[in-house]
Amino acid sequence: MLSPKYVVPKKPDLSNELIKLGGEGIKRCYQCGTCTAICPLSKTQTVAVRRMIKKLQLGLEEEVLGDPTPWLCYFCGDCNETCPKDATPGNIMDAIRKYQIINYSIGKFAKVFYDKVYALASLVVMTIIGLIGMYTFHGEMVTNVVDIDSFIPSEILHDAGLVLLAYVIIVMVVHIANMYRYTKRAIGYGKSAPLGKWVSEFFKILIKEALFQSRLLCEEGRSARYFAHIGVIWGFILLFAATGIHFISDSFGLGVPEIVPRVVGIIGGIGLLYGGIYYLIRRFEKKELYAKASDLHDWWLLLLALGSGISGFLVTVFMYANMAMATYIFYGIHLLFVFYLIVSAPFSKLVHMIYRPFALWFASVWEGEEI
Amino acid sequence: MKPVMVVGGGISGIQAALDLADQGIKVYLVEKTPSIGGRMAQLDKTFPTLDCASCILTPKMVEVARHENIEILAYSEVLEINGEAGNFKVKVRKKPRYVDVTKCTGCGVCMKYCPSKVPDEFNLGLSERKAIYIPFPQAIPLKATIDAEHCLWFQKNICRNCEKFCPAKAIDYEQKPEDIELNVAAIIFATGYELIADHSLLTDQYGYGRYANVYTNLEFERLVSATGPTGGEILRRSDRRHPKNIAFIQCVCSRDVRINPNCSSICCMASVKEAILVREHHPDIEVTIFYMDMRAFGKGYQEFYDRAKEEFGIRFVRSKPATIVEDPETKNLIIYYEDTHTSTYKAEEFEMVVLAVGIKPVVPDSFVPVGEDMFAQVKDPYLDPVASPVPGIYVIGMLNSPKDIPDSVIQGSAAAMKASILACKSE
Repeated sequence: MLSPKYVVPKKPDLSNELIKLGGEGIKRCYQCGTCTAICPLSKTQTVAVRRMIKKLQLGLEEEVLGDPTPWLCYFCGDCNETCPKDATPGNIMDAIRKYQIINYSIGKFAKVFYDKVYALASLVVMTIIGLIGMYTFHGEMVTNVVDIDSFIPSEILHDAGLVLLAYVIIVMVVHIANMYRYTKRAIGYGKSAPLGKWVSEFFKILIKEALFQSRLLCEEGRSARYFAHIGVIWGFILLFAATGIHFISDSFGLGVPEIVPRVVGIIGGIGLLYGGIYYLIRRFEKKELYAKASDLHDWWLLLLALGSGISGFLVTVFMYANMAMATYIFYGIHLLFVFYLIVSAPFSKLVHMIYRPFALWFASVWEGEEI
Repeated sequence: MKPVMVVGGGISGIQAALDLADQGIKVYLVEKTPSIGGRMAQLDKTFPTLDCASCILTPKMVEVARHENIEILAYSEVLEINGEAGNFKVKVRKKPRYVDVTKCTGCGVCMKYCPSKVPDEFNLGLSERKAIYIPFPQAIPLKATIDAEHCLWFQKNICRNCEKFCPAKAIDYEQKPEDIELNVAAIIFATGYELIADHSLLTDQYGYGRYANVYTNLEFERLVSATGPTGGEILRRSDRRHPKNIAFIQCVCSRDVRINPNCSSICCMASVKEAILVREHHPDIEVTIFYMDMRAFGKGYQEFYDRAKEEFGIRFVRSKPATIVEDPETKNLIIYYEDTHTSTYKAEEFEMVVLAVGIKPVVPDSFVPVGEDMFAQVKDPYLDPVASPVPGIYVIGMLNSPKDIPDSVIQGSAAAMKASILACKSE
């Protein structure tokens, strides 16, 4: 329930702001509650879709920023389909996710990635930095055999990777701290939970939700989307693992055979490509409710993930075909895509892989919901 | 002075006809069905006073029947309108009743011996009538009609029971449609409304037609009526026993942009009334009304709503339920909804569900211009609210806009006044 301190509207213009982010139906909502009642997640926990829209209508900015509800939603679109006012609650949830991503980010920097001009400018800047980096650190281009290691030495790549990893971790710690602050005020105010609960809920969510997406499977007839999403997630996990194995083996001289990270990487790459292409087709078809309206935020993640997947795949193909120049060119492209993906990760749609589990975690600890 | 035609014999058309006739103007009252009376004849009680609908309607119907200036053209339809205000030529088709109305006494013997059973329109299919029928006991004119679509003689050339048993020898299988042309000064359309009962929201989300114990409000009106199929006893369609609790769901197929964005304006009070009737008939049945906004705008309506809560203990829940699922064994209905006052999701079991289904006007096709909202257009909604943009044609009652009985009667009188001006000017 809303606490008395929030009764006065804090930001009368809040709905307009969210409308710009894609929640165009906010003002049409007449608070009937069909969305909440039709939501397949309602059977297991409080999914306050209608209440969320009410908060927007009232301009309760802090309440909106501290509400984990939008992260529970995986946009099946049932609410959009049954809404008698065509207020598209699913799209409103999506808009709130963007709003939260922007407001959790340092200096609201995420705004850059939600504006076509700024996003393009950021791509140009990242490309220039990437190219300068590659030009500065590249080694010899052996043309008679494919030798990626001499083109760009792996030590340099590893160092760059570590820097990027540190960047992501530092930025995400700040973002999560912001999220925690807002969520604590909105739903965790005056509540405390034993450490044991934090720990047990963490593992429950990590395994059931983060790794296996059990809720996405909860509705019948949606298994195709489930497998595509699992493909993407495990694609990322395996690709990250492949890089990690290679790095650890190299730096500690463990001598893990080259084939191990390569196979892990190829399996991951196939998963990523499968899921990425599935989503690309759905977003072009515009049939599925979640794919009806795609904006910059959706294309950004999809194209970068697919771009890095496809270019990486081509590198492998050309390498086995022993085509040196093609390999180097696509390797460069691949590195650029990965660079974009990582630099924009804390601000783009990709960040849902962090925010969603955290939101579920906070909700289950403070609201005591069964996951 | 030319006559005036009133199309539609519901309460609005009846009022218009009586007011015109009392001024000495000849009136043709055209009614599509075998009897005048309209929707009001199907209602049990009226809000907010709980007067018996039949008891106040029937005397008016009788007055119409006895009035020297009114000619009822029941079981008839308007085919063509030509001319202009003050001088319309209207072609009306009298459908064959296959009963000589000058001989039929309305005794009902034919109905007793007719072997063919048909779902009864007057009771919305909750009971059966015969292929030869009088829609309801108070029908005006009180004459039998053969429904040729279901009559064994017309379909299979057998039976002729009604002819055999009719004491007045009134059956006439040879009747043909009869077209007549009438010259009138003005035409008042009062063609009424029907429920929007064919949308997937009803069938898929709320299971109407799939689940036995889901009713529309008009069906329920017949069920709770003393003249209805159960004599006013509330019995479930599935097992003919009293339900323990009943849920009313408001704004079904109305205030819904996908189907019909209009508010029907009657269902709030109608459901409150029906809920009160349930408590009066069976005080042990618990009643819940799922509403979004309780629109108690008329005289005495707010008090009526307050009485429902305080005196009759009816529970009001602010919510629009999302789905209804039937328990296949008990045929009870589980309603999934969010109580928006407490922000809680609930699944609650009810033994009967009544849907307040939205209305759409029955439009007399091509004779009156219709607006985007499906209802008939009016010349000026403020200063000429019953006149169609076509001069000399008036649109009243539910055809004009959603409204309750008092407003329909007011419009009947208003249109009568307007039409009488044209009639008096005509030669």
